Amino acid sequence: MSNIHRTTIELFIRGADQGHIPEERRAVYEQHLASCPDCQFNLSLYGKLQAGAALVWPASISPQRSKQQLLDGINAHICKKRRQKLLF
Amino acid sequence: MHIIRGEVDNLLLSCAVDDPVIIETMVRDYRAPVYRLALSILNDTKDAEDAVQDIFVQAASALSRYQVGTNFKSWLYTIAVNTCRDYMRRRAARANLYRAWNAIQSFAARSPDPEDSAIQNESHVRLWSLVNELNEKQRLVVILRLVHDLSVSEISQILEINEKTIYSRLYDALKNLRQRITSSPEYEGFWNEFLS
Repeated sequence: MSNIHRTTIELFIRGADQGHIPEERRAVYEQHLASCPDCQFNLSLYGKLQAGAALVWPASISPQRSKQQLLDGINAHICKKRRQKLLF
Repeated sequence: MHIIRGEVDNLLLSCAVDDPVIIETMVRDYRAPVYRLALSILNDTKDAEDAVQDIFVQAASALSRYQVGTNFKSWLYTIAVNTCRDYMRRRAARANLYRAWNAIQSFAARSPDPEDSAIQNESHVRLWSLVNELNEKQRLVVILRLVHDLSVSEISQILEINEKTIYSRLYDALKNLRQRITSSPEYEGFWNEFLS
């Protein structure tokens, strides 16, 4: 990460993961963010992607294949593997 | 090392590795998130369903190699991402783009409140369709971070790359998207309003 724009995004994301931006770096980050339209745009974009993710990829989508079919498929595969092991 | 133990970890400690109850628990607890992960990477419901089956088959076969307490979810997601990558490689890029667009269109159509949120949804769908045009490295990081809400350290574990690279890919993805948006003829109107 060589430039201030990269660092700003990194601090923002790291802050989101850890719940805060380290005090000693926050001033630099806030000062840069206030005067940089590119970083403002990036963070706005990040926020819109985050908000849109739940709309575009709803959590409720579930596969048509039922759990039982899935389990049957897995069990059949494992039985096949076991048979192969027994044969060889 | 920080020990993380979920239900599968506990079962692995108390049952034989090939005990069906472990597989059932794994499928029950992780089927939905793994399907969402596969769908978000593959953008095709049929491929995602097939991939989910392959992912669980591979996970079930490899359970003996999982080290209890080292984060089962990340371990399973690693298998999932690698399986999805295999699926992606099998598909032609042109066909993929076409299907991605169709899949996204169909998700937007399933919105529970189509009239009130139609314009907003369309904007989000357009933004995410730009994400789908990013290269695989940037796209995967954006999807894992923003669709699946994984931390940078989890993504690092899943993709087996260091955290600095994740930040860098996220920044490059945003920069790429910004360039695409600002070079779009509709920027002054549509995007400007949406992103403000």
